[in-house]
Amino acid sequence: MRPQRCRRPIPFDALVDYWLDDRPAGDPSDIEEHLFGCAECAAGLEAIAAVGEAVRRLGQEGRLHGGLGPSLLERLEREGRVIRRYRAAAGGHIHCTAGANDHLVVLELAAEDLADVERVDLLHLAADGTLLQRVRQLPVIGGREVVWASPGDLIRSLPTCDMAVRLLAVEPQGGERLVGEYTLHHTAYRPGPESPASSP
Amino acid sequence: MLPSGLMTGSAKPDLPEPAGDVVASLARTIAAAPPGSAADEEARLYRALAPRVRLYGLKHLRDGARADDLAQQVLLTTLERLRAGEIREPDRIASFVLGTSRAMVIDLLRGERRRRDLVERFIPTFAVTEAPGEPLDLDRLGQCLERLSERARAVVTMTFYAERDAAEIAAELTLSPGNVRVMRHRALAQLRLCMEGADEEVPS
Repeated sequence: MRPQRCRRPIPFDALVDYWLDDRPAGDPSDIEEHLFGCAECAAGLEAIAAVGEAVRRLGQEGRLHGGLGPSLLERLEREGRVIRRYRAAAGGHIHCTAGANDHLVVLELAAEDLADVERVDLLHLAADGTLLQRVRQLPVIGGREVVWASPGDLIRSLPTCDMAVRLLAVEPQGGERLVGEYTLHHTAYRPGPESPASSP
Repeated sequence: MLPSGLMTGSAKPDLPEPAGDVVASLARTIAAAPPGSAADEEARLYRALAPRVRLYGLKHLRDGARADDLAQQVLLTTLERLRAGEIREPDRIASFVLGTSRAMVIDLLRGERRRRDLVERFIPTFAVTEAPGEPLDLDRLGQCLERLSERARAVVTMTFYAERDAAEIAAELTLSPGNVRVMRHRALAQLRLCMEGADEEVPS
């Protein structure tokens, strides 16, 4: 349904804060009175609610991956997802694989001096140095590590191979510096009665 | 009996939703008509206001099924009161519906005594179910999320899936709460545009 135009629309930011109870302390009555009388603003709130519900559904269906933080991994595990984790410091080597039931394979990559870095990008490189993927602006967890979660299906499809992961700090002016490099020694998944490797 | 339009939730998609003054006009018409004779106006009023009550219910009850129940109960009560001429100011119908919603949410949160009573009274008679909104297009949302930066996406998913507030997200990602709110506002605005198809770069 196409809502009528509102004469004094509630700013979208205020609708978000209202929906998330993240509004400055105060009585929400004014917003609620307006919402009940205004189709356009109600539609805005409905859009926020719909996105929230869809994100929840994506999570429940196990379709979230990429730069996930501990709270997301904890929620996924609470919902029964199997997560295989590998942790390494800068310069470290990771011997990795995926088991039959792994939903996500997670790299927890520690690095120095990430707390004040404005932007961190992650590079996936083949053994010969060919760039496979660049992921921009990852969340930095606790100022000291980046978490990268790959779908188990993807990891199970990989052959045995070596790869590298690099973390780059990207300066606002465009300069880049290496803050961590990690070597992955991947063993292909072999289906069978037991998974090829136990959790690390 | 309530009008058949309420049973189907069949709105014509191109018709504009009634504005506030139109909603008031519908309420006046229902109040002035013999009980049950303004079926079309009742259906339009229901379709205009039920989604807003449902949203109010989602906000305060955080449960889709209970929000659906709330919308149904509030609108049934409203229509019954309008038919009976018990609403003194039909022009302020939106305020009446909000007030009724508030009262019912309080009751629901106190133990659902009123809910059980209303369900027993009305559901067997009317069996009215508002058609749910458009099904969520998870594939499209997935595509829209992919267009956000990893950090913005993490903020959105931590908000709605991990159910963390701005301060908790800020602590986890070493950001300020204000920064998290700004990123969240921008990301949700971008997602809204993308989901509505206003962002042409999103793959179909």
